[in-house]
Amino acid sequence: MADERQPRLVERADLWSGLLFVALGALVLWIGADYPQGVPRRIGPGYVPRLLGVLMLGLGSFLAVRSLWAHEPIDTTIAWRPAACVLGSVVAFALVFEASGLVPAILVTVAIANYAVPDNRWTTAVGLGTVLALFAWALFVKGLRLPLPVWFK
Amino acid sequence: MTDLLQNLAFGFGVALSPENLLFCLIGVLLGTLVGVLPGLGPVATIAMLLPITFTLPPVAALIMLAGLYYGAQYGGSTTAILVNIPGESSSVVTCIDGHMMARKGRAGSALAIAALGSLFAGCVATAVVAVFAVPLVRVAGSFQSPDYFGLLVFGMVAAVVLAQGSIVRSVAMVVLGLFLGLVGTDIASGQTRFTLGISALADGIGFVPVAMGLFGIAEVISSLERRALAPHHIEKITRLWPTREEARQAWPAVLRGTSIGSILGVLPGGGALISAFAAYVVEKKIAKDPSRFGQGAVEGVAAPESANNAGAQTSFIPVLAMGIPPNPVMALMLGAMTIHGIVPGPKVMTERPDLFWGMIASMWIGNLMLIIINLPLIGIWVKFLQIPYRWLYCIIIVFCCIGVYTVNNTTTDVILMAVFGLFGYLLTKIRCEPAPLILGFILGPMLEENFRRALIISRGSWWVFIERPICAGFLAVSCLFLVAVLLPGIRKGREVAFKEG
Repeated sequence: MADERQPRLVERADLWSGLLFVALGALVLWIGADYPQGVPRRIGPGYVPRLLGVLMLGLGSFLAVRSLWAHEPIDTTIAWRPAACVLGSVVAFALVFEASGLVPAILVTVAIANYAVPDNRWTTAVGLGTVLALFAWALFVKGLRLPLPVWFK
Repeated sequence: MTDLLQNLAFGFGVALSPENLLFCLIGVLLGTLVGVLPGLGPVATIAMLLPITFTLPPVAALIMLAGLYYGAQYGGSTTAILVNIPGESSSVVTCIDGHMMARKGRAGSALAIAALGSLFAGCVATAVVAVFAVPLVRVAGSFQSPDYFGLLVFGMVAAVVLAQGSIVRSVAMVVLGLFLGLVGTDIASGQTRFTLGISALADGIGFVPVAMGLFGIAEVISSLERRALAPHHIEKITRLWPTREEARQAWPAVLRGTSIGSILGVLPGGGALISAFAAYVVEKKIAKDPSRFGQGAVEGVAAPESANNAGAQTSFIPVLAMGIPPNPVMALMLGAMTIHGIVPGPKVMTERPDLFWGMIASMWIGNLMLIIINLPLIGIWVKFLQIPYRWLYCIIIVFCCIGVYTVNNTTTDVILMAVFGLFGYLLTKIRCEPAPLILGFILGPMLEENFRRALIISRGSWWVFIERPICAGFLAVSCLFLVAVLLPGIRKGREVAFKEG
């Protein structure tokens, strides 16, 4: 049965991308409403963004409507654990680096990122973190002389 | 002609200085090293290693970055042939026949053909760059704002049409990219736009965090999801030289691949990826016995490998001559130039001839280095291939973080990278390609500036875009492209072309 294999409306790529661009276009127009548009011969800071906002709104609406007959499906699986660990480790790098410097930041980042893969042990994190911290210190701080804070001030 | 030779001689003088030679070698080596690792394309490679070039003088930095690029390009082919994982997207087609050759015990000849084909293509393409850059710079010099506007629009349309994926979604992604490029302070009025009250965004969203988020971090999550963790089976390399028969088959394919790549590389949206696809399809079309393809046909390695290297090289032409990047990698090179205080565009050739000709000459040298370090040292690269992904991704994340931080010495950019990593991951879920976004992002400010100036020249009349023949020509061709690709017949052909790869 051909009908059964077709993805439901909520699983269609055009619907989601359409809604995304409609939302983004509307957001651009809303935030940009205060920026002066200027006159055509001397356009203001609001002119081009408004144009782009309208374009996004238009393209988004087109996609949303097209989803009624265009069946390309979205990928409904989300890898929660890898996504959370990878993104978390990046954010952690920023926070720890700000507070205490390069070496602790690398250790914490590797420790968190390590959890993205269930089979990874904490020993991997410790070993990899130490090696990477040493390497980064030698390369960036000693070798390239980049002004990075290394350790707690 | 004598001018050209003089210029090239001058360029070689610059590129052959011991210092520049060294940085070219480092670039090619590091590029190959990272390119060999599965799951890291040239964009991520260059973005990650960008900070290493910060302390260098601009010429050395750009020579090294160019080396990184074709090193990464070539490294990706090694991975494709030996483990059937494309190190980067332009070696997807190399996987097909290259890996089949390897499984039939001809891994060595596949690698050698890829390397020699690339060397030949690189040399030809570098000559093409040298010959065509000068007249193009002259043409670009006569362009006015409306013409630049037309050219930018044409560039973006061509990029969308020639790339994979839904046209409408890609156009929308370009528009979103254009918008994101405008976030920050408006140069003309001094007004801060769309910063959401975050003061760090007043200077605009950085190019590096966006590129690294979309192409580095998002890619790591996707790879982990695909369970790229299992140790790969690496094919054995027996003998490195192709047989006489293989060489005879490869030679014409290399020539065809080189021509296709040289032409497609210059086109906006072109470059390595599309060149490789096109070359493969052409080989298959003209072969006497197309069924050999997919079974380890020599031409199926020779043509796309030559084409992607030629395309990678000639895509420097629009960047060097006009300051317009035809693809994301070149957008990154353009960003790197800006970081080093060089304003890309027609003026680079006259104001910084050392940089212009030095870089072109260094491509020649770099291609030769690639052969030397790739064939005899193949054993070392294979060792790097054996690093398991469950360690590798942690290393990638750490280097991405350090790389992004060092561009502006701010952790805001690191957070921004995480944001775009998440965004990029979700975009792939709803089948939106991130490449058009990055192109729009880098072109956004240019587009607005030229649009503004064009309207000043015309005293506010939109007719200016139609009255100037150059601009009108670009816009007409753009429309033609969009209409053509929406016609059912051509649309089918486009889908098939990408599937065959």
